[in-house]
Order: sequence, then C-alpha cells, then structure tokens
Amino acid sequence: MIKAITLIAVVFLVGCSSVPQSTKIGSNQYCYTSQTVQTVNKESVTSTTTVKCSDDPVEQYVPAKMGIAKDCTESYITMNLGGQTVREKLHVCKKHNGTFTVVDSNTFR
Amino acid sequence: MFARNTMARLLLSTLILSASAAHAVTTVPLSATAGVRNDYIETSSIFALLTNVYKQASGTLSSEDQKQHIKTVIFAASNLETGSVAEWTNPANATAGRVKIVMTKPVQGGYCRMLFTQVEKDNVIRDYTEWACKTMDSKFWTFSER
Repeated sequence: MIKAITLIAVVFLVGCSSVPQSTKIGSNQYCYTSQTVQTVNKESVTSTTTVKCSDDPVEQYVPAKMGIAKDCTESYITMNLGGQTVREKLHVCKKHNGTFTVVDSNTFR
Repeated sequence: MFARNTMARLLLSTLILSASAAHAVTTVPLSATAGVRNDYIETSSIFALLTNVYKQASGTLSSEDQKQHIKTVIFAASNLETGSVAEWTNPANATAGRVKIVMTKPVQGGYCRMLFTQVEKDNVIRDYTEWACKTMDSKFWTFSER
C-alpha cells in the first residue's frame, strides 16, 4: 500500500516538474513605430505617431531597410546538388549601384 | 617486376584521373568548392603536404556559404544580362562571393556564359574564370573552367 502511494506521488511530482510547452514566437519584429515631434516658436508642440505593421518578408530584408538596396524580390532556381534536384527560393535585392545581392534569409533578417 | 608494373599502372591511372579532373564538367561551379587559397607549395616533403592540407582546410567555404555561392552563380547565369554583377555576403563567417557575367555565346542546342567569379574568406580573395552552359533540353546549368 505504501509503495503504491509512493509511486502515485512520484508520478504526480514528475507531472508537476515537466517543462510547460511554450509557443515559439517569430523572431522578426512585426510592427514598427515612428514618432515625429515638432515645436513651433518653442511654444506649441505637435507630434505624429505612425505605426507600420507588415508581414511581407521582402519588406523585412535588412538591405532594403538600411537603404542600400531597392526592388527586393523572391526568385526560384533549380540546381543539382549531389545528384539530387533541389528547388531553392532566393531573396534578391538590387542595390543602388546596379549590383544584385542575394540575401540569406537566416543571416540578414 | 610485378611491383614495377603495378607502380606504373598506378602512375598512369593517377595521370588519367588528374587530366580528366582538370576538364571536369559539373553542376556545381568550381569557385564554390575550391576555396580561396591557391598559394599551395610543391609537395616535396611531409611538412609541405601538411601545410597544403591546412591551407585547403582553412580556405574552404562552409557548406552553407558554398550553397549560397552556388545559388548566386545560378541566379546570375539564369537571370542577369551580360555585364551585371551578383553577390552574397555572410558577415558571421567573414565570407563573400561575387559573380559577373562577362559574355554570352550560342552553342549547339543552347548557350554558354562566361563568368568571372570571386570568393572571399577572412580578407583572402580568389578569382576564377568559369563557363556556365545550358542546353534547351537540360534542366541544370553545367560548369567548367574552359
């Protein structure tokens, strides 16, 4: 009887100590806030707040955000790696000097 | 006599394999796999051999960088006009790669594009000249040095 009670107690304790499953939240920031504050004659103050939310992955590329590239697009290529056909998605931005930069989504976003 | 024949056959096989490797046509550009080092020394001693092995290991791009370079080269060959440049960078590994389309010429059943490719690792840069060819009935680009 004591063994059974001990066993049940252990099972309960194990249940309590288990790590709760957490929902993985995307690492990319979704919304951005920008605020403009202006003073007129050092007296009246006006402010404008803009909240921009976008889940468009192209808009979240760092080269575009930094202003060093424009016209970011997604492209697909097919290649043969080790005898296997691989279809890959590319993120490509055209820089202001005309050079195309292939963005690694893991590195730059 | 047997040992001498075996040695001669081995030497011949090595020469044939080396010759065929020099003109290899693959679906992966050489610049992606050959790395940034080309200052290898003559393997006249074990020390020289080990030095070359170290240079090869330290100058090779990681697998993710190799894949990024391959993707950039194939994108450029498939989409860019002659004279255009495509590049990739990976600040985490201090690596980068560039490809410039130099010329395009028709070949039987398809066309070939001459590429100036460049790979960089830890500020060491190596330049390559490669050909990318594609025929109408082929799904993939093939790459060669000539």
